[in-house]
Amino acid sequence: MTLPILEARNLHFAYHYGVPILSNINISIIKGRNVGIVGESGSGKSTILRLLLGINRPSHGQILFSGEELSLKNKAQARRFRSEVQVVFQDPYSSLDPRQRIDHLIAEPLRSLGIARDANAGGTRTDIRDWIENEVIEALNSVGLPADFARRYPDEFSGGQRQRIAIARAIICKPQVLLADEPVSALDVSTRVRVIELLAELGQTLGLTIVMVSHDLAVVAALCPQSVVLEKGVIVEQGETSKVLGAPSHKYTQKLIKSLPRLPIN
Amino acid sequence: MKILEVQNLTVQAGTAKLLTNVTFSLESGARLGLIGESGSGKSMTALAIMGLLPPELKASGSLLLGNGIEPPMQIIGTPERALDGIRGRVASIVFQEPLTALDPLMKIGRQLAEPLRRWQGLKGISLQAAVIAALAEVRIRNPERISGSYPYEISGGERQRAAIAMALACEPSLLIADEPTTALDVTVQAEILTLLDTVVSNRRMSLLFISHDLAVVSRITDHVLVLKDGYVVESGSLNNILRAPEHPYTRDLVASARELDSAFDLAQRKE
Repeated sequence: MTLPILEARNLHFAYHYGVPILSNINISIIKGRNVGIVGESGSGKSTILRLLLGINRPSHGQILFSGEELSLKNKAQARRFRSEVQVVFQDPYSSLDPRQRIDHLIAEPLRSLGIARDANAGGTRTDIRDWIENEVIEALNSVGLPADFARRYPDEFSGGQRQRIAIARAIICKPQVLLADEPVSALDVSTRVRVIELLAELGQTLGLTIVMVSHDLAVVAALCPQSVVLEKGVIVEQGETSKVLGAPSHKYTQKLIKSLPRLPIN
Repeated sequence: MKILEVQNLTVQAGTAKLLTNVTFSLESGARLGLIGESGSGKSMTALAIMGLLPPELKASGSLLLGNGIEPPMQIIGTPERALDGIRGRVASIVFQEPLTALDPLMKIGRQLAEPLRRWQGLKGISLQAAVIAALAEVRIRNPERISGSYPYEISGGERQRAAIAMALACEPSLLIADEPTTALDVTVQAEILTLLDTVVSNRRMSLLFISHDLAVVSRITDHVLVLKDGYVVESGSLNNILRAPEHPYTRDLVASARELDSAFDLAQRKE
């Protein structure tokens, strides 16, 4: 069995003295197998993502990153973790700093993680700048955006374009895992389909494994062969998406499937 | 009898046209789905019908609204105060986000009592009973508790039910629902759609249902109008539009919806 890149082991989470938000969460992220975390508001799905990202620390249990316990106090591990595990948020209107140019936004991980410096050891500042510029253009290119976007500002772009920019920023450091919190739910249906296609394509071309939190079963079905169904902080069902959707064993999963609005059959 | 007749409705912000020559009508008791993506002018159309366009926008064309009791009223150009007789009684609206539609500082019961008091002239115990009955009609499980709660104390689904109860309070002939389920969870969405369907049938109301989601619209009505960039690009029965969309925009919309729908089917079938 392959070692999971990221693993949540017996995770519990509660805010100080509060009611438990998550109980006994076990999820393995294996290279090449996208995972969809499905649940409704308040189910704790975004909290799982925050724990997997190391933004919050679990009350009990562990997050394992390539088999080692994740501890962001360990600076070397934190840097490695940040360059291997990246994130895209739901609302592309709030996740991009409106005062920064697109090239700056996208290149941020290269600078803050010291990747640009390491890749150009011994190079001049001009070398580093040119290298970053090339990487930005390549990242824009791989999310299907033209190179001249680099010199513009976020407010010039539509929601779908902004989400592509956010994805470009996430993949520029060539991570293994992309955590995406409702990445398409703020988008129109046609844009939604295109962004899902982009994510699927990036999975293929860059070997990126996507962990997507979503309330939308259709979106999960389109992108993730593996699903986790979450209700009130507890995993009620997890496994192959085809099995979870085709033969749901838990009442809550059945209800979710029944509630999904479908097109009339012609 | 026509309850709503929109002819060549054009809305302008300065020189930019937000809606251009939008024309459609709605018979008494009929339902129509208004479909389009963000920026297509769906909500603008709804606001224009209610006479709620911001003052800096200029509307032209004709917008006749009437429930057959009095002669239809021309909404465009009518002063604010004259619209009071129409709003809530001939037409009322449910918005997407119930948290912003409800007054955060007023208990649900008091908010709902306001239109009931003004419209039906109820007072005291009978007003309270009417509030509870109105909340019960929208299937709120514990109407007494909800009536005494502030909007922030109740769930999104309960808030939207309360907003629907308020929209129904003056027994309007036309209900406009502007993306009423977009902010809700899927399971709650399914319940609210069933609720709207039932209430509108029971009260023999007309319904203008606005959504970007073809699958959601199909649960409520078969007649749709597709808007893009402020123009009506296609209209007719939803089945025909799904089967043979004519306009390239509609084709794209239908193809996208189908793609997600079939992704779900495919995943299920693998089992």
